[in-house]
Amino acid sequence: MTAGDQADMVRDWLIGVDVGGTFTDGVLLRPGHAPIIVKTPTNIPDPVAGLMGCLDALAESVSISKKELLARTAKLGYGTTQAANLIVEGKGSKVGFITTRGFKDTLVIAEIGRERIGMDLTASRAPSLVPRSRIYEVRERVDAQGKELAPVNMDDVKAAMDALAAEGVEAVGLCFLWSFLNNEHEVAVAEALKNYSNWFVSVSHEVAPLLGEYKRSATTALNARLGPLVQQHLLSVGRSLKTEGLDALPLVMTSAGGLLTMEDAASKPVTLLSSGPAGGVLASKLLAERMGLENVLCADMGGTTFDVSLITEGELALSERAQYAGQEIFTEAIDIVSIGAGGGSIGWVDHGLRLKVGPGSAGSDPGPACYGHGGNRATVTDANCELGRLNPKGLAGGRLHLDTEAAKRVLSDLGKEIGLRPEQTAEGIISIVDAAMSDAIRSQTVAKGLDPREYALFAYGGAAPLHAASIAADLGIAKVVVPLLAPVFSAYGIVASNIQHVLSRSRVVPITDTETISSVFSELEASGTAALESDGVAEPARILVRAAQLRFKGQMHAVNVSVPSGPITAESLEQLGRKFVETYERLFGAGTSSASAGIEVVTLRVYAIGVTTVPQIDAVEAEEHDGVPSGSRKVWFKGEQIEVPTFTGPLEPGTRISGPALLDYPGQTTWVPVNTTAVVDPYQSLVMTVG
Amino acid sequence: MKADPVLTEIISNRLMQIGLEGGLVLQRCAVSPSVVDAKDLGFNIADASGRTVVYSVWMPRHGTTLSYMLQSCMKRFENDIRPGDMYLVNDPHSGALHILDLAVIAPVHYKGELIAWVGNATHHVDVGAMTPGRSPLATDWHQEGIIFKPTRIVEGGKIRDDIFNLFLDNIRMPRYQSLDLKAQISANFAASQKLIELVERYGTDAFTETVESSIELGERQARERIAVLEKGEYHEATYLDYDRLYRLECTLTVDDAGLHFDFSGTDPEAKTFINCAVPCAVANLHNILACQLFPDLSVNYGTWTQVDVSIPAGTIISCNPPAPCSGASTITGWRVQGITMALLTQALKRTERSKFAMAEWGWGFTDVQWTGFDQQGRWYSLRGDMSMHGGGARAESDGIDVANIAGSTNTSVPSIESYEYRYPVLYLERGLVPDSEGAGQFSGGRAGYWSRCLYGVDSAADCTFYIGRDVSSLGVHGGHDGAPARIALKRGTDVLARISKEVPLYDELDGEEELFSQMPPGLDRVVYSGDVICVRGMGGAGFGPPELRSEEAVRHDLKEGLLGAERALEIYGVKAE
Repeated sequence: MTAGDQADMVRDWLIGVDVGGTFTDGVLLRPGHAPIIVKTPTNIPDPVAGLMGCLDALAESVSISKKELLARTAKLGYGTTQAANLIVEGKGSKVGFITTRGFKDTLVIAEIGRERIGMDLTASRAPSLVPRSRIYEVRERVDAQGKELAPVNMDDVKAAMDALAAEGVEAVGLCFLWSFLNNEHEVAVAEALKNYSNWFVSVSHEVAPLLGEYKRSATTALNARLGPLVQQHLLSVGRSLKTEGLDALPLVMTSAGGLLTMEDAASKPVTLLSSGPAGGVLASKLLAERMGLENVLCADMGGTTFDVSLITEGELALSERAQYAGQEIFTEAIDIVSIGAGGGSIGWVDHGLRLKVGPGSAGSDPGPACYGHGGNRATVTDANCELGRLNPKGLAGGRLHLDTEAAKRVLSDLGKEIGLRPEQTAEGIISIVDAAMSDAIRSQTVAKGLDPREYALFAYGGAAPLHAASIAADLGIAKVVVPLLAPVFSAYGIVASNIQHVLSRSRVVPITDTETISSVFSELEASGTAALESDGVAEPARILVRAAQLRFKGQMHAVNVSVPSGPITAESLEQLGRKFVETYERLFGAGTSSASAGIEVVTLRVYAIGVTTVPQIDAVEAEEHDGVPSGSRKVWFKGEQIEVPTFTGPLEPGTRISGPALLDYPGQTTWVPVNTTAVVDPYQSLVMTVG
Repeated sequence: MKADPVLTEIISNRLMQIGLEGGLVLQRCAVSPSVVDAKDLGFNIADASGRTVVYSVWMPRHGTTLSYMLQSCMKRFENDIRPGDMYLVNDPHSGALHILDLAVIAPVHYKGELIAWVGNATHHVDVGAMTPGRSPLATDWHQEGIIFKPTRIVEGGKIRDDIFNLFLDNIRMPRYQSLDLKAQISANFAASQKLIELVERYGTDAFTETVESSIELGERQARERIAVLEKGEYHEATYLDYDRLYRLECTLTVDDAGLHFDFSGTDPEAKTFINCAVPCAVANLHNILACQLFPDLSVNYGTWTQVDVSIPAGTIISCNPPAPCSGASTITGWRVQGITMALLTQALKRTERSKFAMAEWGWGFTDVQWTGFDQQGRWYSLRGDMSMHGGGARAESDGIDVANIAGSTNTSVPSIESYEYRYPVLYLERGLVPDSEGAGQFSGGRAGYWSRCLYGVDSAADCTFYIGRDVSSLGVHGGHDGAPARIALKRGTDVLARISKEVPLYDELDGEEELFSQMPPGLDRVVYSGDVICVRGMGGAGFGPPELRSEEAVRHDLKEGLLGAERALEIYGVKAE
């Protein structure tokens, strides 16, 4: 390639990178070419070098340099677990906090939160996000109507700032009572803080303008604690990519399932806490839309956890609260429930009576016995290995050789305790873990009044395709989809997403208060538009979506309802009220609504979306035809060893395979049981019809 | 033949899941905050003979009372248990924790055979007593609300409207509570259906085998754990204060047969609502065992075969009708927890599980109840912030600051903002109380406190009661006692005149302070605009002599403002820098 070629080069490549705990997944999408996927080791001490290593691997796969790769890139989406890792490792910057006089212990008491402490009486509450000695009180007060009672005492502010400076804090959090209704006091103090020093300043009405002083304070304090380090990392990623030749604005994935620029994300690191799993759910949503599916159960099974999230009638399940660092944090996120079941989950025997699986996990070190790194406990992966379901030629792109003898040995030891042969023990472990995963899905759907049989199951992440068909059969689900990019589905979801700013504000008013509702939406929309403008999103690519959290007066819980665009009028709000009642009765049962109590708004939200280039995947229609096996493996099935045909992917659209069969793709194997048919659809996903 | 170790595990997990799903249905369909937010509920599954195999998936305390209520239902309907029945119970003598906890219990039939029982209990805000909720002034149990001994509320799979309406006609919040009660019935329907599907899929034999092996496992695990305790006889006495001082006494014997608790020596039943019936006492005892001794084990009928409790009839924890007992769960019930914990601590002290030994946690109930009409003329009843007590020191760690009662796994305090939004009040402060903890090698947790006044209205009726003002949490092994609870009111302050400049704190206000008695003087106490109430919980007690506390720990508490310089010097001999 000459310099001249580079000058005319079209920038139309898309890159997604998802940094996980062990592996960093990369995906490169080029118009007219098959996607390139890579898995490189995660570099925890030097995350920028880890990212560059993944980009090197992508470049190498298409035989060019990283500079050339980046020069052709129109969009780069990045998912990072850095913020989440800082919490797990208990790291972060030195933080001070300022709050209303009389309430310095809000963060310390943390609403008591005994359910976060648990049943064990020797357990303790997670320590306050800011030590009590670095929390300062300021005389000021606003009431529940947002009316100023007492002004800010600037002498108190000055004294607090002097003390914080003497302590040598790097970041300051600020939260006053009722600041989400009236932010004047916070604005004044934030300005004083910024003028005083170059602290990272985290202000509650900006980070989480929502009702509830403890959760708002905790979110603000956590944001302050993560701020300096996350800011430093993201800005250095941005700089390095630019130096390496990326001309496009690099974007980072948030927990809410949208992308933000490095600068925006750096000011609100709490929005990044579960960005990894969000990518897979978003990718599922896009694929489901293409396939014309409305209801999808997204199931991601890796080494240590099984994560479930729902897409219902085409809508993602969202939550606005999550627990981090033992605290309740306000953060808009895709609702993902995680249970401790994965390839590394360990089997054990309880008092010679019961075979049990988990919650202990062999993790990645030593990992399952069959990985040959010294693991000596029987895991789910060892059970799959013993049953003959795994590709003996290797996992993780052939870099990992399977030690089948080691798997048999540990299963044999375990089986002796309950009088079972190794293969019986293996089948036992698999049926127990499959049932546990079915139960995780049941909890998710039952809690929301939904029926799993109305859903398709999307299986991705290394281990899910081995278990998906059995889970589906247990739940009465007819359709299972294993996407082509299943092993790097999150990375794909990241690059396939749009820019999205989530702007929310709590304002507890009756639904009839047209004036307030209208003015809050206008305010939020103006901020959203300004944010998109500063991202460089052109006007036609801007979309503003409204939502409201509503409840019957007197209730604690609110229900999310989308709000149509256009002027807010008495009629439109009346219609919104009816929609809320409908949604409420669908969720909680007919006759459960109490309209006579009156409906009130709790929180208003605007999603400001900037549409960016997303990958186009063309459908390849093809006649159905029987697949040709590439070989066979001996597989244990209900106590018998049977010869099962194997197929090597990627398979072309239209290929039809009847179970029992094993489909080996790079990075994963799919188990197609008896009575199940798999067909490769026009998007190259495997679609299994169960039962 | 030995039970299948795989199949019984799958069925046993499924049974737990059905219990969990039953609770989820209840929470999804109910509307009251006690169910939806505080998750004050339990869901049990028992076999046909009434042995509980899934023991309260939600709150442990309800597991035992549901077992008692199931026995009462089996006894009352002995030969008349029909498919499609459900029974309503809230009678404390039939097993309810107290009259405000309603249970719905249902037999599960498969092909006409009784195969299992399901049941759930949850707290209702009102049962139509002389005052909303508990009745601190009651003199007999008929003043405490409508009583249901096991009563058929569902017949042939249909709700009996006559019984359902009888309940609604007798309570203050029928609109919310009717949905809560319907949710309880729905939860049983859902769980019964799932149990039938389970038996259809795996067969009744596999179900029976699972129940047997689960109970065997529960029994063996409990026996092994009890064997860790030091054998012997332990004795404790403890007190509680209300209209007068009451004494509880208990002897624990640990031997090869298990645990035996004997409450001989406990005071005869009171004339006030502090009493509880036997099921409430045993449920609270079991709750502490579940949390302090068995937190990591599977608890079911088998577990409790290793625990024997004897209580002489007619005491404050085994009262007879018509003695009032609506205070039960949070008063005498919690004192039973305290004495159980003290006894277990003695038996744990010199064992491999000594870290579970602990000093007494703050206890009691500071129930401030204000009722009246808000600015819009709507009636309200404001309670909450109820128990901001410090946790007891543990053998290897300090107690939790503002922990609430030991074994209350679901408690939290609502945000100040949600209170000020809902009710006509203004909070001046809420925080923890430095120096309220019992000193020790490991110190207790600090109590919490708050103060507030009326805001925007002129007056409210007050029916505040509490216990633990004259008795406090007891230190262990040379650890000091915690500071007792305290509720006081300053009458006629100038708080509202001062707030335009700065919101004053309680201690900065002038006004005549009235220290509240534990029992309300009557139904006619009123608080007025300008009155400010200050409520303080009880500090947790200390463990081990203070001389052994590390200087580092003392300096930390000094720096964090948890310990005053005076006490640091006096108790620990550490001079503040």
